[in-house]
Amino acid sequence: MSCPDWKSLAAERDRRPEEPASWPLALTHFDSCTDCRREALAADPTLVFRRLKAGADEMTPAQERSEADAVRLAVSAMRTASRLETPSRSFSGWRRWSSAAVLALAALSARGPVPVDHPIAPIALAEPLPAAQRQAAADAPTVEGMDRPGARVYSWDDKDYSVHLIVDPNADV
Amino acid sequence: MLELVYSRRPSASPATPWAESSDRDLLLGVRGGDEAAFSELIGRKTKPLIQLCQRILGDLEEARDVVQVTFFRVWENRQKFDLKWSPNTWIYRIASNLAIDHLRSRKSREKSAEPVRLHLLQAADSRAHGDLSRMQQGEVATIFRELSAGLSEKQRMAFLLREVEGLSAQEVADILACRESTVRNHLHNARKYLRKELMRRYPEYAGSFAAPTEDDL
Repeated sequence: MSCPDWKSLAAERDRRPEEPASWPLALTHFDSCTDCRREALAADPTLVFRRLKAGADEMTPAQERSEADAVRLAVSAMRTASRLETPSRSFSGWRRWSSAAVLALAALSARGPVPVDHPIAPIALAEPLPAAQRQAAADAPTVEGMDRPGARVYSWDDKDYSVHLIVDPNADV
Repeated sequence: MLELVYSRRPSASPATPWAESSDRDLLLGVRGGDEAAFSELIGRKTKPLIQLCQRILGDLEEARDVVQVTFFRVWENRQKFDLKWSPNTWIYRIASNLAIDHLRSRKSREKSAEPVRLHLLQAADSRAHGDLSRMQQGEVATIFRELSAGLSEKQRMAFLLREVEGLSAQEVADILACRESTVRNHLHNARKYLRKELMRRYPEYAGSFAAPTEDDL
């Protein structure tokens, strides 16, 4: 293909938004012909930005593979994080604490509300309960699955009432 | 009685089951939740997407971040891929929107000024050391980054997708979610602005190609 008339092509392009019909072919010619490059750039200096494409092609196949591998790893991590986040989102924040409160209220209502005048002491689940507490616990609601890591049971007993507060961040109610 | 049965000799299997599939088939595989198709898609599209995002954002690291999120979004929204779109259009649209969001969030116009100056100093230094071809390429990218800060996001995207990536006006319109005539207007205005600013800010650079016309001044 002979070199296009860049001056008239660029002038036509500047006059109206529609590109001249021969413009795409002229661009292909511009990318491969060094004879008329100077003339083309003189007619339209913004053609210099075609070099942006040429510069970007410098990525070697090895670099390309490395970039793709990095993306695969990152996307995999994002997908894993997304999967882990989804269930906790359904049972997060206020829901977890309100569930704990509901459990506590349920335990309280079984014996009726009684004012508390001493601090709450956490009791490790693995420790055996004293005989008196075991007797009281026999009448209290039973809770399953409390051997889960991270779960804690706070309980206090009196002659008139018994309260067990269960805190389990992983519980799904 | 003999019966004609069609049989085909198994061909040598390609490196991955999707290696020779078209982009369209690949995306259909991804839509069906095929991990191998997704991996192949990443292998194919990472380079062009990083290049596109780097041109939009002017920063390789940020471009990598955007591309990673792009592929994550592709996977998360794979059911939404519609056959009426070309695969490139769909992926470029996700990447472009993310890159534009990124630009907005970092208010690039203010933040990009200092790196541009530093890069120009480095470019001048490399010119002094005779690495002319490398300097010119880097300098073109730097100048584009600086000048395009004066374009609207749509103008910049239209210019990059059409003039640099070589997509058709219709494809650009699909990516930018606007009409083809709007794309042509964006392009026209972007070219006019870039030409004018190139002449004004880099007369020594542009002067070697063209003298400013009255319209440019």
